[in-house]
Amino acid sequence: MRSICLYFNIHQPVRLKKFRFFDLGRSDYYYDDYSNEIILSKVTKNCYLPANKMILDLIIQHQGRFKVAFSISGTAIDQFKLYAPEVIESFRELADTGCVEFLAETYSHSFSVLKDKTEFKKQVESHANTIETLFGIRPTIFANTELIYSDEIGAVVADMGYKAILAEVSSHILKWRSPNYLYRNAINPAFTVFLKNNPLSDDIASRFSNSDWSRWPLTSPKYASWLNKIPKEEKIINLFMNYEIFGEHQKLDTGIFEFLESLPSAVLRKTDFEFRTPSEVVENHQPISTLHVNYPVSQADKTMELTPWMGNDLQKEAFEKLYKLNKLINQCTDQGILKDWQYLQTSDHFYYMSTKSFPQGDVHASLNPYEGPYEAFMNFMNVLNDFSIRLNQLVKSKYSHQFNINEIELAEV
Amino acid sequence: MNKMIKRTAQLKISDKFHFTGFLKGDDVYKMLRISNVYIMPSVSEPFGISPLEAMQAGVPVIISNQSGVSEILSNAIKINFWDVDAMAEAIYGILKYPTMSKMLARCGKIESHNLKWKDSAYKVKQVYKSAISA
Repeated sequence: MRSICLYFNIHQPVRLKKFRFFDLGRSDYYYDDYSNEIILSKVTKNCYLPANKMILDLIIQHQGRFKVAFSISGTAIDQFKLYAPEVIESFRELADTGCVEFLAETYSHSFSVLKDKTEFKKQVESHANTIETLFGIRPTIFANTELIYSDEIGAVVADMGYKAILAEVSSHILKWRSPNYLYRNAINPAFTVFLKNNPLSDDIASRFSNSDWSRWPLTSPKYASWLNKIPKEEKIINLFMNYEIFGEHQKLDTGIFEFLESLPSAVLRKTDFEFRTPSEVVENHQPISTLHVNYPVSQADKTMELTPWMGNDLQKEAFEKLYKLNKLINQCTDQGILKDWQYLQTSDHFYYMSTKSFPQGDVHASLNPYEGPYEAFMNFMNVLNDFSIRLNQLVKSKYSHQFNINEIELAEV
Repeated sequence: MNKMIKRTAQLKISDKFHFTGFLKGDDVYKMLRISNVYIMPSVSEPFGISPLEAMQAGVPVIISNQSGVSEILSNAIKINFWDVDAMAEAIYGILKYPTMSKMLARCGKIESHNLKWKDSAYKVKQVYKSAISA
């Protein structure tokens, strides 16, 4: 029996408001609540609620043979609680079916693993606690931000007790290897790596509504026929997508919901694939070999490097300056500062500074609040400057009665 | 121009301004070479060649959204002519964040060098061809 592992990521950043240098030292609230609420409400109406309802109906209709996995970022959860608590309720209904698995990720959908392993572990722990509180089950499988993976990242996650990780690795690293198998992490052989099947995932996520695509229109019988062409020894198809393709990036009138509705029947009747959660895939399949990925790689870019987030000087500078503050953060207990610290790490802030053309079908691009990358950089850095000033003042006042102020290394942005 | 001179005097900041008058020829490039940022805050501008001159000289530029040149440039900071706060913000950003000003200067220079009349002429020719064949 072969397995399809269907995984969706749900994420919304807490977008920054316009923060001018005039605001430095005058305002410690950085977020555009109006835009965040408008956007979340729109995506809730167009995507989250109708997609969740459809998946619930499909689970019931197929009597447990249709299964999916989700990871929901902490920033999305925070905003659901504020603006759309009914979405959390609809995910709870899905959790109660027993056919849905929730994965762990970093709370703030961050790249912290690239800079500070301690911070990364804290964020993952916080996220797993939240998921357990909301849905009653603690995640055992992990999906990093934008499915970034390397041998070292896998090993860090394995050390935290997770069984497996979802990843996307480009063909030039895989070389002759197929993504349709499980692999072992190169540092911890007991840890399993799932690889996204890029073409089959992107056929739905990116190409679905593109009438210039040679294989348009995509129907579920057509898709099932492609699955049947996969060599029989390749046992697993990993379809990893952003959830927002349903109704937001691929609009309602493209027929994407009709495709989702008919997909389980087409797969279950016409192919030898079964839908399985990632945990079930780990139980039912063995890794075929060890995968070596020496440096972090990601999705969302044809070159499959980190260039959408770290490719230019603006992004690198902002990232470096942000994490330069982590020593001071470790000395701070102010809850407001710590919440801001989480929200400032969200990957989208760096994505907005990208000078690459947004790849076709990119969900982040459609919700970019900035005119261009320089505006995104300036705004982020203004916020970071103000945050740094507040952080410095708090740490100074906390320790000034204990130490000579000159002994404290104050981070400046 | 006279109104601006009077305004700087009223605000008692005239020592922070030089009103050079019309510049031409080599004087333009001498001025750009000693500049950290160039601003074109036009209320309405059919195109605007001067930002391209600044970019060729490796100077980061701030341009009005209400200019034709803003439609074709990526490596420039764009503001609405009426948004003086955004203009001040952009100037501050360029002076405060050297990584950004260096990137604007470097990428702006490349972008301005890649703007060629023959490319525009080619696009116009293609439009004529498709109109004729339609």
